[in-house]
Amino acid sequence: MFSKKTVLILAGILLVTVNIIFLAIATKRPPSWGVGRLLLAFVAPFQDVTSRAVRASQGAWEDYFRLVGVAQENERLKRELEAAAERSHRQREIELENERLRELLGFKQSLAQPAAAARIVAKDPSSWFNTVIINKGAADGLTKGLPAVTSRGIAGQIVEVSLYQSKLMLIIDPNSAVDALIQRNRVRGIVKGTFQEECTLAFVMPEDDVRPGDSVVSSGFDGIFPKGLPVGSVSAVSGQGADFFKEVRVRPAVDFDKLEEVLIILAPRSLLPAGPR
Amino acid sequence: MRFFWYIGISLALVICRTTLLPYTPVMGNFFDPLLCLVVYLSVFRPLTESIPLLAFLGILMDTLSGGPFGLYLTSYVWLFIGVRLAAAFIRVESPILLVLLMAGGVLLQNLVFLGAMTAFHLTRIGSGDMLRVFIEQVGWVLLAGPPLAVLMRSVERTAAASRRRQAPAE
Repeated sequence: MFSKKTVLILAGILLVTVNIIFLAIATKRPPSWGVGRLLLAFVAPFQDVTSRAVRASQGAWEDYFRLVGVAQENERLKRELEAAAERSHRQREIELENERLRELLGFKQSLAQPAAAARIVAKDPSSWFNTVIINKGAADGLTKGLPAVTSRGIAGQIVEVSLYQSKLMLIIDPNSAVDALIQRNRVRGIVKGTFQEECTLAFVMPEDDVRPGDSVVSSGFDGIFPKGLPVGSVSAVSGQGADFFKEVRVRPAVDFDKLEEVLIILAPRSLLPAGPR
Repeated sequence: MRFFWYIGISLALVICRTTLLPYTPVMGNFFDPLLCLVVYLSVFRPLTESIPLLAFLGILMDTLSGGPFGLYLTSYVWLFIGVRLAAAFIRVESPILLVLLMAGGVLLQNLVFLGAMTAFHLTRIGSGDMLRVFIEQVGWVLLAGPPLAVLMRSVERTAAASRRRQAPAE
């Protein structure tokens, strides 16, 4: 009655229609059959495990990348921290240097003579002498014999000058001698260096009144150091020594262990006090 | 070329002694590291090579030091002569003897300095202070000497091997 072709076309149309009707019904009323729930209950655990595994692997992968990122960030932060610490340290050094230089500048302004600030670049190679090398020389107007001071007191005297460096003999050097006075009663003596960080006040007569704690200042008689600059303070006095004079030990006003900068007084000797006032 | 190496090493040692060690705690009385170089020259190097360098080292140190000029040069020259003489009788290349030679160098240098200071009335140094500085310096020699002696020998062996390689080529 119908050809095979017609039957196929009709079956196709029927299938499409049924499908459309099913879809229309299903969209209005979602299926809640027992089989569906059963299937869901069966499949869900696998889905869950699989999903967890996927998530876990995804997490591990992401964590790996995140960790790499964190490690890199950690390295970067460490470097930044080190750089910051280094900057902070340098800043602290600059602050301290600034303080010292301000102090030195204040002292320089209080000096009547022109002066040049110099930095200590090296110390004496021997344990027996106390000289230092400073970074100023003949090019800066330095000459042999000029006095070096700090805001605390007398530091030493230039003994050798090259174009850009000079050798400064500290007052604690065995070769050093500074004409000095006890500030309280004007007892005079010569402050001589020892090889330690201490000096002696030589040629003090046995009858002179010198006590521990007395301030020792430069007398100006040597024509090198300006009068009245602090040299140190008397740390010990013992009776008559082997050479008739009193033995007086002087603790220098300048802390030579921490000495980093000095002022070189540039005035010619004729401008310095030549005799007692 | 070799002299440039020696000068470079000398400068490094001098900078170490004058700029680094004085600011390092407890190392203020470290011995003169150039003594090691003097011992090395005396033991291992020929006169023609050693004498100009010895003069250079002595003058360099005397220039930097606040002591009378010539103290370092004197101590280096006498140490050099002493070690050369000792080498005629004993095998001074052994590391133990090299350390002893360095200690002897420290003793000689201190004697030269103290002798000069006493002779020129520079200062009166208490025997206690003198002994303390000397003991500290010898202590440093005993600590730093063995590695330095081993270094000296290995430097000399490397130099000798290099000379032997160059000899057939010449």
